[in-house]
Amino acid sequence: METPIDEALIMQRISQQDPVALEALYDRYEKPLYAYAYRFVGDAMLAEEIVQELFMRIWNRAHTFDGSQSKVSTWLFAILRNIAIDQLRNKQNRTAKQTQDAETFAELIDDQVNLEEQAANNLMAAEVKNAVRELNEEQQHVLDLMYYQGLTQQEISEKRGIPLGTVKSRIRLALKHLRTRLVEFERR
Amino acid sequence: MDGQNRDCELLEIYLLDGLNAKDKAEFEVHLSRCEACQANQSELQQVIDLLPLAVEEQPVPAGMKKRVLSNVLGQEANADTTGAKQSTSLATERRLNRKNGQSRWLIPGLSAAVALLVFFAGYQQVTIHDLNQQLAGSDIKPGEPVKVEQAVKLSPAAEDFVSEGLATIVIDQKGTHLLVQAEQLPQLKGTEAFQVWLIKGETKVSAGTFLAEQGNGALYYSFEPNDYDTIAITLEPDALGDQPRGKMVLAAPIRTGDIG
Repeated sequence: METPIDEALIMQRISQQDPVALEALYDRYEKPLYAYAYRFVGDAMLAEEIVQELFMRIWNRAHTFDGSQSKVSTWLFAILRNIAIDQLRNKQNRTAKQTQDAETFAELIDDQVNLEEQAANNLMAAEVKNAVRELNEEQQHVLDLMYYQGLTQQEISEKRGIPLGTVKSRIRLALKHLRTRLVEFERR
Repeated sequence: MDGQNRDCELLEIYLLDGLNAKDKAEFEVHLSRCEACQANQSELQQVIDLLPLAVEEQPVPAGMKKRVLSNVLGQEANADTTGAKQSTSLATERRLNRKNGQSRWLIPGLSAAVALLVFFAGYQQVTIHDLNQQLAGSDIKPGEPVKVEQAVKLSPAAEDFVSEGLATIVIDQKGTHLLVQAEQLPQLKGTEAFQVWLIKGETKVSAGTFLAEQGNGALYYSFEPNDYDTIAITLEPDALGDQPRGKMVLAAPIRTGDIG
């Protein structure tokens, strides 16, 4: 049985330039980080570049990680999201995938998710997918534009031609629903 | 609705990074003063932290790990002009506080070689001959002399092993360093790792652990010469042991008592 190694310890060792620790962190997060990067850019090569940039930053800035402020996974996904959004914003010729009307979360979710085969961690992933799927189309759309395409509320308002207050209310309702659903799940 | 509540309505958008710079700065002032927002922030952040899980899995491109780590660590090795970068295994690091030994990069040129050996020996088919050449100092900067004190060939410790390796002890201004490289190592399973030991009679001191790629692996370790008479590599059930628990794979007699 594999003994879990404390992730904060891994981060500490990465900050001391321990390449074995970096590899350990990579092995743990390769798949979710790549999938997350791919979700932003829709391009395998670009997604790999984003993951590489992330690990470059981890290697050089691991000392800035504060375990008392956030989990390692939160820190990783937050940095990766920033890199991905920077990539999107910096690219003048965005690909059709980014410029077309936003796909909804539901369109990206595989209905064939087999919960029985999911590990415990994946059960939460499935729950999150289900919770997102339950949002109405407008809520999914606005959440997608803000979270995965990095648009501000003003940009969404202009892009979609909807009042700023509507953007705000859709986001608030979406998160309220997710919060309720996920709290329920954790209580089970 | 008062201004306070209107500001509170921006919490979700703030956490989703959906405010422009001006609004964000203003909201952060509000957040620093609003207990209600501070109370909600943590729980909402937990929800937002779960959003990456809503992403559908994607097959990772073949060879991505090799490319990513190669670029990250290759860049590091090349950019490291100050030396003294630590390169330790997880298990070794834990022991550093208890011992004099300290794993770290030797010198910039050699650090590049070590980094390559540790991570890419499997990919680049580094040979003992290559290692000897690297140790011979082609990358070593003037003014940072390194003396190759001793190089011993590691022999298989049992008939069923075909592994071979080289242990080299070098000395520079910072101390005594051990560089171990091995080839044709057995395939690791699960949490297994290779561990290097410096042995003096019945006393066995770990010099750290390493993993192997395609049967090749390497380790670098700084230590105090202490009359060690043997160096050995074992196949351990994990990288966390302080004493050998697994099979010996490679071994060779050494002498460190008269170093320095």
